[in-house]
Amino acid sequence: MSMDGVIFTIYMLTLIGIGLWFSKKSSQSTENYLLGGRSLGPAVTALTMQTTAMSGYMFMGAPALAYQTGWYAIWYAIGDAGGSIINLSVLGKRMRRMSEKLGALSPIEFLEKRFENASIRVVGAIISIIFLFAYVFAQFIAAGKAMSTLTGFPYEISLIIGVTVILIYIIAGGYLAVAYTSFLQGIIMVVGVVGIGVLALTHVGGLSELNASLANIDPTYLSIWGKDLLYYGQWGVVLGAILIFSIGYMGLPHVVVRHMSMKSTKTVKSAIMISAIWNQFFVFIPYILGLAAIILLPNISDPEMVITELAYTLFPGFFAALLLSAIMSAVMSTCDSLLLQAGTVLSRDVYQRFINKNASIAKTVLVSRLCILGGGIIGIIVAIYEPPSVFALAVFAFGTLGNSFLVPYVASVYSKKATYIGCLASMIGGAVTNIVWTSLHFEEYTGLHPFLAGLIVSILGMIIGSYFGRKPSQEIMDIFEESKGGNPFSATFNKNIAQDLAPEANSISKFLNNKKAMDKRGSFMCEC
Amino acid sequence: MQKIEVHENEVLATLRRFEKHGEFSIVNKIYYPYYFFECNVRSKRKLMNGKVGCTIDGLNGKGAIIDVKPEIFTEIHSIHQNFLTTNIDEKQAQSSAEKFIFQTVAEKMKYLAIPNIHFIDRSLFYRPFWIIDFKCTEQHSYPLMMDAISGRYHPL
Repeated sequence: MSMDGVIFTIYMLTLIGIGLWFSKKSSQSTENYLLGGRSLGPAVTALTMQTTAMSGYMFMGAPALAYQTGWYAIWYAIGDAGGSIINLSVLGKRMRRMSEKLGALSPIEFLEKRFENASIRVVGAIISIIFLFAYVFAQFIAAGKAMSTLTGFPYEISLIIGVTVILIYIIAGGYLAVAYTSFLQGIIMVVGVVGIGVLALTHVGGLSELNASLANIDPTYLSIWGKDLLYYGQWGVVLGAILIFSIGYMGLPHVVVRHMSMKSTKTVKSAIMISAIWNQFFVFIPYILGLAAIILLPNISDPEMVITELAYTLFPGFFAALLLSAIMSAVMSTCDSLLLQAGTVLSRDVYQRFINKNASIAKTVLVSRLCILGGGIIGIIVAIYEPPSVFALAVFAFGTLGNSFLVPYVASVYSKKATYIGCLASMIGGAVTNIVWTSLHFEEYTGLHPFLAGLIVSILGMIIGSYFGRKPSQEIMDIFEESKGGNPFSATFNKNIAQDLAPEANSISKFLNNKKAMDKRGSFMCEC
Repeated sequence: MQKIEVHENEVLATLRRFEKHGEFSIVNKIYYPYYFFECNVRSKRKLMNGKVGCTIDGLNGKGAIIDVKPEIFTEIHSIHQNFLTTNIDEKQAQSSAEKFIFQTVAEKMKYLAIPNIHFIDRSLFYRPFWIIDFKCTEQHSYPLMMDAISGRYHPL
């Protein structure tokens, strides 16, 4: 094993050591372990959230796109910069209120309860499992490449090592679930990536010099239409590139689930805002690094290794290996949330809901594990025999999930007319369009990005489909109205509302209304 | 039945601190049912060895991990009209508690260690809530509730 491999091993052992130490400390009180993280401030929470959100796409896909297409790639960053704020503003409050009133625990259960049809859960679960795994495969490929650099082994062997390390990471997850490990990783990544960004820009003489150098190599690098004006006049492609990360997050089950569990404490709200503001700065750096690499690393064989190569070029070997270890660790962290989400969807939304309603905990866990194992094996095969680029796979999986669920989620909280037929048409139409558009390369003939094409079909599916099927029941209509919010209280008063009391508030409302009705009936009987 | 910790004057003072305009008045007091379960949780990797307390909402089965055992102030033998009646029985509540505790542990331990949950204590208790009326204008009023122990509130 190379020296870098040793550093990576030490890095992982240190993380586990920190996790173990905190876990041991907190396991003296089991409640502390389970309720851990409540006392963390918004800044630590924000950094922890950021670490989990950073995936292989950010470190490998994004710089590779910029390296290959020039400033055109920044369209994706522009969308991404606003994504979390749009997601939070459009869905945030309404979805949280509605899921509380519906008593839904998972995003797919939410759709089933809102549209009052079980088929939504089946279709939703199938789409989520397949594309969550596709997203995981992109992380596998990224992990394989990162491990290859760290260990010096060929890609195939590194991939198997990488996936094995990911599995160990999941097993050790209980120990690593301490917020401080994510915080430490966050610090290393932030310092590292920002450090590479600053050093790379200094090396190329700043942003203006970077542009001048790019223009000298090929002026079309500076064009918004891509290198060699590849997408010249294709607004459909540009719009799709912006939209995918700006609104696509609203269609990702593992992201949307946060709205459902969000507590209205000031910490969480502030953490989301800090994270969103931080995103404005961080999200552009990988793309800028891709551009800088055109000048600094003109002969790089794999553009997805831009950040890795720049780290070794600009930093001392030890720090570069440490940074790469943190990146690898972030990829693993993303991977394990995705795998667990896919496992949960299969075990709860499919197995427990349709196959074995009285399944024991042990059986449910077994289904989850088999799902993770099966996905892992398929992932390794795909990543070895037919490895697509991290960018292509991540955008495909992200886009298809977005096209399937974005419109149903938005319609569920904003449209009273939306029916389950509309929801099904929207989900299936959106997913199929993206798959067909991507695999048959329709973008080249139509000038329309697969995400935009899928979005249009999904919207049409919802509008046309909602003319058919049973209309939402009165109960859903009432919940819809109540979820709109709007009360006479001041902002300060609203900020301090204990959102976790919503189920009690619902039950008490019903109790008081029933009591009122009975009192009325009683007095009417007396008058008679 | 739990003892009221936040009394009428504190209720109104708290609400007025956050909402300067309009008028608050207490209209009722009701008691909400919860099941309390205490259990020993053990896992293979010894990370989760210890006692866990959990409450299950007696009407909708929602679970919550708690760090302090609810203090029962008065034993009650029959419930009167201000008491909400449970929708789920103790057996269903225990099953919900088991699933909820497992889910909470699993989220932390990432599913790969199934904890062994053994119930050691259980009870049904009633928590007091104040029902308050907020008069924003002469014609319009808006109901809300406040937990009479923690002082946390939510509109109705």
